[in-house]
Amino acid sequence: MKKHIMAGYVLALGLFVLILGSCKGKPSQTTTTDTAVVAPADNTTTKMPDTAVVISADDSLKRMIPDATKDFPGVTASVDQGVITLTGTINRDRLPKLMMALNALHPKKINNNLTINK
Amino acid sequence: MALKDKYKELIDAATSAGISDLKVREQDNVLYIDGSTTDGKVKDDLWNIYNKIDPDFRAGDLILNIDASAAAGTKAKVTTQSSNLNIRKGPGTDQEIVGKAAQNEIVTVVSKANEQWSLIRTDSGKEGYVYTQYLTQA
Repeated sequence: MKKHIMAGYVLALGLFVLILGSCKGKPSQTTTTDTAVVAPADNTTTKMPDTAVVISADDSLKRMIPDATKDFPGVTASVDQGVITLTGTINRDRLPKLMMALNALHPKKINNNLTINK
Repeated sequence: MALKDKYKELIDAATSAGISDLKVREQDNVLYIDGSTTDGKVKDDLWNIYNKIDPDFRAGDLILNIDASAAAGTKAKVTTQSSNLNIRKGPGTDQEIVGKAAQNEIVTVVSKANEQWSLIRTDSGKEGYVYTQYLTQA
């Protein structure tokens, strides 16, 4: 009986050493596995726009709008829950350029309340 | 009237112009049209159609996002209204101006920092970030 228990211990010890040994040789494989795990997550992200429209967060819109409206000094843009509201004045020939820049920021919608000259 | 019907002429024009990755989606009473082209004129034509259907873009029922910016490694023309284009140290108007590119000047797009900013190099060797909306594929 004791012999069986001893044999069991030896077997368990042997298995332990075997597993330990096989793990030791795997650091690079672990890194590869990490990369492999990240890749499907990225695929999921890129597939998302096919179904739902991605709207920029207000923080992100507020950060990007000054760059987009810099050359339109008469224009004020406010943001609320993804909606950009434009107030102020603009010349009609400049309006498309402003709208192109703002439409590229992924807002939910744009309310154009600008007074348009000419 | 469904928004896809209202903007049918625009959607048809985008389709026949071969807009890449064209997506037309309606969500919460707003139509979203996204895509890209290497031809700045195609983008302008689509915006003219948008302006015709919805004069002065007043309805607030369409977000038209057609990316016609020059890809990394290609040449781009500076298409500002009249002024020079600021070249900045980093991607943001809060970044220091390190140079200027003249209107209609041809520059090389080194890379895209994000959707709004591109890293460019002028023929005279100046390098920095510019607002992508002012670059058109040359």
